[in-house]
Amino acid sequence: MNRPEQVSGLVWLLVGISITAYTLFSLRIGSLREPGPGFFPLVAGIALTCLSSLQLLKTALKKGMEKRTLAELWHGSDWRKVCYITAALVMCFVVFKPAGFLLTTACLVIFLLAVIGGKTWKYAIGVAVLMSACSYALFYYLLQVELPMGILGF
Amino acid sequence: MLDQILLGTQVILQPANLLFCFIGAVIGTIVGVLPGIGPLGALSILLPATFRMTPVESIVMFAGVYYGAMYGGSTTSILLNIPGETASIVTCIDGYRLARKGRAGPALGISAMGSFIGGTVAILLTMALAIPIINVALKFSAPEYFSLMVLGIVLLTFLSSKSMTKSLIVAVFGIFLGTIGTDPVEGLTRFTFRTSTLLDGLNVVPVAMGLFGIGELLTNIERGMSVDVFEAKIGRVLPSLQDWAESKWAIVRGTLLGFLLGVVPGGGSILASFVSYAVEKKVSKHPERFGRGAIEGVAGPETANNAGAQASFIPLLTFGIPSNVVTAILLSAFMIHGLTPGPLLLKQNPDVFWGLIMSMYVGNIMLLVLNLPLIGIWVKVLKIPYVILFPIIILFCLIGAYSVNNDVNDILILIIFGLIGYLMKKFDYDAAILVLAIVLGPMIEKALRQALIMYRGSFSVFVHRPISLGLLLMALALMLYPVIAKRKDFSLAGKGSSEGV
Repeated sequence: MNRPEQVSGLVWLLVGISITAYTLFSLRIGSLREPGPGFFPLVAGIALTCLSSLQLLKTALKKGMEKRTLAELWHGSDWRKVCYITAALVMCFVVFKPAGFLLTTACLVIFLLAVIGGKTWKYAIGVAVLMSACSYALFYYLLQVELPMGILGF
Repeated sequence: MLDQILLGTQVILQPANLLFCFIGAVIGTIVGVLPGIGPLGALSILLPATFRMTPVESIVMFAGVYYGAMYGGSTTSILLNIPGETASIVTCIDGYRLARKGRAGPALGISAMGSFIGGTVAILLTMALAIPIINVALKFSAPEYFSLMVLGIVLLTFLSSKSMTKSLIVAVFGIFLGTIGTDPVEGLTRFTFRTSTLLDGLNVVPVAMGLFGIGELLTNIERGMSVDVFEAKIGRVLPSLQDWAESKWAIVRGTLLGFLLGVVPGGGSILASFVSYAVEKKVSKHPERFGRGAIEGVAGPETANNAGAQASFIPLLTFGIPSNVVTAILLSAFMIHGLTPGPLLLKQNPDVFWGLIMSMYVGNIMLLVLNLPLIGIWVKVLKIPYVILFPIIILFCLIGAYSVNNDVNDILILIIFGLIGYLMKKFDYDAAILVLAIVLGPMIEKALRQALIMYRGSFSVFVHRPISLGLLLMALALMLYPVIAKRKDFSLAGKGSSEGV
């Protein structure tokens, strides 16, 4: 049994059923002569449900399918770094406006270089300050992109 | 035609347009050289920066980034055995072998010259075919557009290396995501969960940067990317007469293949390069040379990927339909400047249309100079360690996502799609289909609803109109082909085993 294929098929099936149910209960479907706002999402939801059911069926019935477990997908990989980077990005999202661009990006780069990249804290701080300053100059001054100032005020 | 060429030349020779063409070519070469970020990431980051540019400046720069990346991608493939971007994956196979034999220079040279030839011929063909294709496009109305876009999605799923069912799942999910926002006919909100961020739908920039920027980066970090320490000596970059003799037909075939596959929706430079390599190996009198440093294994794919990149503008400029993810971003660039690519673009904005076409000639010449005598500069860029590169990529993705609408929620969309991209790679789903479906989805829905309203809810409109019927039949044939091919394999296997008894 190919567990990753089963799990992904199941996830898509749940997504398809959710879309179909939500559309039926909250949007007007209309008719073929006058399709409503719910018409197309309903078609997509039903199609997704059918395709994912087909995927699950293929996985169940296919003979000679490679046996794989979910854990094999992450075997030998440094998945903890993926979790750390994701958590760091979520923190960035939370503090981006209140803390401002410069402070947020500097802290992010320090974290990425020191924790993920394995560099010394001195190196990480030096490079982070340089990177944040250069990207601020490039995007804010040269390309005129609006960036949040936050608590530093610039 | 001559008037139009002169108009285009006049437009591109304006100093500002020339400058932005050059900037695009340089940025394209850099992102092509650097692994971990490709033209899609670069275009997504640059999109908000073009708000203050004129339409010609921004479109010309974006085009330069796209085909510039095709030139630059071969450098890392040949020198480091790491593809600079996806269309240069096959170049690693023989390009790196040539570098190990001390022939990095000729490999780089034939790659740049093949790209130039392929690109130039593709531009000539574009000029010749643009107006006839536009005349056909003017005959299209809602039913034909619907059928063409359905064919495009089906073709993309058919050409994907993943299973057809999985590709269709991703396509349908992308089409659903395209419905998020405000209903185009009645103005009601759908799936916005009362956030203003989603009122105009999912913005393609944070989605694409998430899937391809963050998603790719997470996969690389997890794998622990390491670079081969072999330092190739470049030497002379001009290929010898022997190299030209071995590569000439590969370049011709690469040009034609690249152009044909680039025009097809769902095709483009990536598919063109893979098909070209397969064809060269098949037609070669000495296929055993492939994988050991066959120069035609570099010449063909590199020619094809640039020809494909140039040709992929045709569906966008003539029908207004993006044929791949990169041209989907270009569509956003057009719309930001109030332009609608399609059959009316030539009539309403001939300066943009012909300026873009002529900029491709100029851009290709610039790239030949950048990638041959100035190759030493890009080799230095390659020495940037990945540990420095990946925070830069994340930083650029964050800024790019935020600056589209100055909305911090776009950063959340970036993160969510980054995770989706990472998981899609893990579970073997094609993310490129998702982005194209998100862009095409609203267009498909609009065409479908317009067609049904026009013809009073009758689906027969799609089969009574001959062009629409033809396109839908092609889509059906593509969907049925894997099933028929499988049944044929089964019956042949059955016949074989019974004959054995």
